[in-house]
Amino acid sequence: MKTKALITTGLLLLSFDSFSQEQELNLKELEIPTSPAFILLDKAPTTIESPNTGKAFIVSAINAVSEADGIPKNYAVELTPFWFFKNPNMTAYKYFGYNPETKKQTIWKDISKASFSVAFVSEQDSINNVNLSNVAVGGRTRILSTWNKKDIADYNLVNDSLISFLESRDERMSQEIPDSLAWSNREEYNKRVAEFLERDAYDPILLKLKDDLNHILNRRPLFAIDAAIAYNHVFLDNSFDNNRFGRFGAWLTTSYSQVLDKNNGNQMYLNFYALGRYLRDGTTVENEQYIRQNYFDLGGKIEYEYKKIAVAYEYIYRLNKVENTFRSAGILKYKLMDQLAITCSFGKNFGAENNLVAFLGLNWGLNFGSEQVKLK
Amino acid sequence: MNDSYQIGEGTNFIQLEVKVGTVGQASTKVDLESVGVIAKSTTTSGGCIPATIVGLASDILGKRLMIRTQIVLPKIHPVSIHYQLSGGSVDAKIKSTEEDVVSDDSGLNVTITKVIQFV
Repeated sequence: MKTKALITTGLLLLSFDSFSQEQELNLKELEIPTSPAFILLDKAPTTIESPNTGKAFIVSAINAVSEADGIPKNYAVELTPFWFFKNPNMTAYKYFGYNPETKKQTIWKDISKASFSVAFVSEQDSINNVNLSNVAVGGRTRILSTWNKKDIADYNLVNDSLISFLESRDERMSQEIPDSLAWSNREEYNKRVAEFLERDAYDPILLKLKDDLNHILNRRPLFAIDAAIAYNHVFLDNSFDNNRFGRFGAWLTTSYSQVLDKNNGNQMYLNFYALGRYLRDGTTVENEQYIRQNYFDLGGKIEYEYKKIAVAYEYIYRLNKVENTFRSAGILKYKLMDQLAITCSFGKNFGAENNLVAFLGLNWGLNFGSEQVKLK
Repeated sequence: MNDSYQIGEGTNFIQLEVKVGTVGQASTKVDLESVGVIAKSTTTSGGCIPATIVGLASDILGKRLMIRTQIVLPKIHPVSIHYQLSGGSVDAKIKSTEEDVVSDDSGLNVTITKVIQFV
């Protein structure tokens, strides 16, 4: 029954994949959505997420298979407005983050790709044992990032080849469709151009160049700083009027990625992360009352990534007035096939009680999102 | 329906500028009827063409200008394109219309064709 529900949920979410890719997805593309709203609610398998620029639209779900027959009841939606609006000043080079005239990188290129998320998580209240509905909103953006010199050289090469291909496409189009048709019979002209493009889209040279381009754009930046902010409010017993503050958080993640196979397709990385986070927490119970506390988290993560597999260890130290504590966990991610990966983490969570981290989950990596089902 | 640009019969030079806004690779070519290719974008210009002289108003009166931009997008993203004409009666900013844009089924291979008649 659980397996059936798991497969059904996966297939349902796969059917949403309206932008199916031709090339094989790498692990970076498959990472489960890391919307700040979910991270704030401690629903991500790792506290220090591998930062990524936002996709156009992500719908994600997390739930224990043992609950509700595996049908997720916790959801998040993340939206990146950049992908929905025209940008008159955008060029392929600006999108990549390099100015070919000055030969300098534009390190702020991703700020405009800020994403915004909303998450809904249902839980049981530990005091009254009533239903808790967590609503969290969040935003994140990449403040700066830099490429390796080889990434820029590779991009220049692919860009030039693609432009040559487009020039050749234009010549071939002119030979096949008379230019005069554009003003004498526009309907016929557009029909023939559409047919031409449909055929040309499968040109092996173009497919190879697009594949190369996507692989370059999906490489990890050499260095990046990401910022995120999130706020959570709790509604009790399905009542709008019965609500309280949950959590507020703001954090910075810096990452450094060292390519270990520069001459073999950039598929092997050693990634280092550092996290600084401020949390205003209203979820701790004291004398049957929820109290508010300030936390300051400082931590790091080291991750080895090779093609379909990533192994990581993270350590975060938490400072607060009552007691200093830490989280220490190992994380394993493995891509089973395109659009399906497995994530597990094990270790110690913050606090002295109920602090076991034991997580095993399946990730459905979709172009606009992924689905995770937690297996207990 | 073709756009038109009023240039008169004077000895003034008519100029064209093409501005393309896209995350994808883009290449633009400008053809003047019965003359041929008069301008092309470069590999790093993103399909844009800086202000370029099309010709003397008296020489190009009645001719058509065909501006065709070929684009390959890495992801679906709306393309912005407009054509700035100057040197005629008044300067004009002509935008692309739905009729100008043709793409394949994936929406990632795009051709934008604009025809402007000089009147």
